[in-house]
Amino acid sequence: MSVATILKPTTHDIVQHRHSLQLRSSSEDTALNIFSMYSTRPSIDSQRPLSYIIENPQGGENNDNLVVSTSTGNAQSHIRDLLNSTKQEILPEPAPGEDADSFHVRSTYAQLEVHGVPGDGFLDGIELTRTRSNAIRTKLDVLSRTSPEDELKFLSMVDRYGFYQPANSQTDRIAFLSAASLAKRLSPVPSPSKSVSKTPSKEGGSSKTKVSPSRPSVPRSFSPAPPTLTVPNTSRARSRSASPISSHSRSLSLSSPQLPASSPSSANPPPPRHEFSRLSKWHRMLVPLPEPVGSSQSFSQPYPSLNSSPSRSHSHSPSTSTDPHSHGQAAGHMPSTSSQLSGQPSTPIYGGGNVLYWTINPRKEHKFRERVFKGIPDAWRAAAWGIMFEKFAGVERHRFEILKQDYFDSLDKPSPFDIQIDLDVPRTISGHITFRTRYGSGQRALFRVLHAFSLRCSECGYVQGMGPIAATLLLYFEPEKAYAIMVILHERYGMHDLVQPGFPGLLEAIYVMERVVSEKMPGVYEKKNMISSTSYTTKWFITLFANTVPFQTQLRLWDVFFLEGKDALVMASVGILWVFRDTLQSPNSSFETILSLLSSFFVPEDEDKLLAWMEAALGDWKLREQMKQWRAEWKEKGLSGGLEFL
Amino acid sequence: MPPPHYDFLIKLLLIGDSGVGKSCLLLRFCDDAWTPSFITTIGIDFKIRTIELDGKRIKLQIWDTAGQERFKTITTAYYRGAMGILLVYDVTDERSFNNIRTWHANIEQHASEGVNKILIGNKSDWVEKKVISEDQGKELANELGVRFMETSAKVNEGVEEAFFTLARDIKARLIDSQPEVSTSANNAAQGSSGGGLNVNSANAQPSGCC
Repeated sequence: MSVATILKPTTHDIVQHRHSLQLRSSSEDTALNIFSMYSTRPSIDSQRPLSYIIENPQGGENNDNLVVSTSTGNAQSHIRDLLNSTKQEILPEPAPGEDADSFHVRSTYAQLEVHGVPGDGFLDGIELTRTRSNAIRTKLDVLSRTSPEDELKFLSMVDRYGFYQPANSQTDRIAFLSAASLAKRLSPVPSPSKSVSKTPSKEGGSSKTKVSPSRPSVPRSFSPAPPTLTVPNTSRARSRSASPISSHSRSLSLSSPQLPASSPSSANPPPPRHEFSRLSKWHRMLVPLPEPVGSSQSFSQPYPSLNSSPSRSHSHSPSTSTDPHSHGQAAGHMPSTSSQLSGQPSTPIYGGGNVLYWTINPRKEHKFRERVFKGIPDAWRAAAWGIMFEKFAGVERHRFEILKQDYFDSLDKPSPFDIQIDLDVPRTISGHITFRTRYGSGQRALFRVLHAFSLRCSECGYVQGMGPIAATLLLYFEPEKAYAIMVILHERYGMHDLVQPGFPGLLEAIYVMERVVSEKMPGVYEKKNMISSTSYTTKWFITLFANTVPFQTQLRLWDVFFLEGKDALVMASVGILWVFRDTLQSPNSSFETILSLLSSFFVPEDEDKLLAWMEAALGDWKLREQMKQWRAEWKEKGLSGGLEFL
Repeated sequence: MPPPHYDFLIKLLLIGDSGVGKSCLLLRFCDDAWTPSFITTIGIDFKIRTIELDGKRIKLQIWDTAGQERFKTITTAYYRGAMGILLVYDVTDERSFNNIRTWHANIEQHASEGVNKILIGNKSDWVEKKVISEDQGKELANELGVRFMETSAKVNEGVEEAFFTLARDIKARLIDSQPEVSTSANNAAQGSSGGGLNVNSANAQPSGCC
């Protein structure tokens, strides 16, 4: 029996139910009884090594004795039904010739897909695949130490995108992209020798001194997590009582302004400026498209009715809600409310919660591009991205439906990359609630999307760096759609070239970037030449700037990328070099200062300024035409030129 | 801030299978930190730590690489500039140990001749999961003619020793045998001609960092 066919109808339900359990558990101490223990048991059948049994905390091991204590009886019975109905059939079969470890990985994810993981969202969980633990009885004793207060406290720390810890908490190299240096449009700048007298640190100040370490507030558009888990605390706490010499190395961090704690009361940091005011504009600009043929629903009015059925599993997609209150809740990863769970929305939701495809109101079409650069309100992001795939990348709508089916079909096939994917899943995004718990719903979805995608193209397979892309998409789309979009990126946005062996697309992007730099910033080009661009741009391009800029900035870069294609990535890279042009071409800057600067985590002081700069640069059609020629030129030169040329 | 000068610059490179703990070793050595939630290294990364050896300040510029096979086309470009290479495997993962020979062959192919090497068996604290014994590690190291050490980035065991041992070997090979070398402090990882012999005296060029 195919795993895929069993899981398809149940996955979302289980996830949604568990989320609701999780939320409610903060007020009910018994709510987590169902998950208060779970164990792995040795299997009799060696081909089916795993059997996860959810135990009754009273000691019974009979699956029929599940204790589910929730405030909603129907959730309780429903989840029991789900578990009972699928449990016996869920074990996947090892494929002929499939590596035992590889099968162990696949089978573990498949089974936890049904049973879930205790404390999903706020516990770290335990490792089962790397450790090959299929015969060890494991208890999550941590769970007993989790009080409802802890859970509430944890959930209240989460920012609007779902981070409980800023994405940059792992680096002490933070560089600010000053707004001032973005005020000037991309245009040829001579390599000035007049600034020679300045010291490198002052030079860098064009960006750095703007935001000194003592600066009391974060850049307005950047939303760090709340005070309890701010960057400086975590990274500084790691400092040791080291020898003076070794602590010396930390002075490398460029300007390393500490992201200050936001005001203690703000559990959710404020959204970008003007975002609320833009919501209604987007509401007028986008209109839902009728359902594909075969659907019973049709839209006779330009806007959906207030109370469309939310019964589809996609109902949590943020794109479908323009309610300003739900909008602030972030992107699709927030646990659903109990009312959604029971299928009865308590408040009207604009968009009906199940609009799959949107289009642009023809009368507003001319405003679309400009508004994308200004910033897509997060609630409209998924809808807007969907439109761009159709309108600008030319993806036909039925293609999504075909791809979604491909996703489900792939789930019971083995992938030679399963072990590597499993290894990378827990270290894809740090500090995000969705992906926190080992084998939690987020990690499982991530595994499956990457698994499915690794089977898509025999040349590309799976490459490290796809993880952050899939994870970001999963915050806005259900797994099958996230997969479909990965395929679109692969086919229409150059991801195939980007990640296939030899990384020809990466080298091309670097080549074009270097040409733009040599044209506009000859001084920088010359100076920067001593460093191989691969050392810092590899990550930028392959992950599409994930883990390089704050999540919110990453989303805005993606907004532009989906609109403009791969030139947008090149221009974002040029933008970073543009900001630091004075530092980079200073005679005092060295290999190391340059490299550590360019390896930084970049926090824009004002991301609107960054986007405005990119809009202008990408709007320079002469330059765009040149970029096109340079791409052709690169292809002509052949890929064999390869790295040496760079 | 301490004075930014150093006497010598040594470039090191970390290689080995994905997930063996290369980045964790680096984080432990440079920042004395450990985190269970590390992010996959994409492409290449680097960190710096200045140490003192026999009264000399030695700046270690350590390059960390992505472990996935696909990235070798990018990372091997960085082999040539390295003066020392840490070959890392995970003592709980037999595959990573078996792949050491492949990694070693890569060094032979791409790195400078005479580059100093050390074999590292990481995650030594995970006793109950250990599948590669210390003797196996030693044996392989002997066979490859490299030094060997077991480490745990997590509990901070052997990490300092590993990097210091390698640095000391390099110093003996390149610095102690050449009384006066003076080149520019600015050297690209791959651009430095002459392979591993680019020991830099950087007194004249305060870099403003480290």
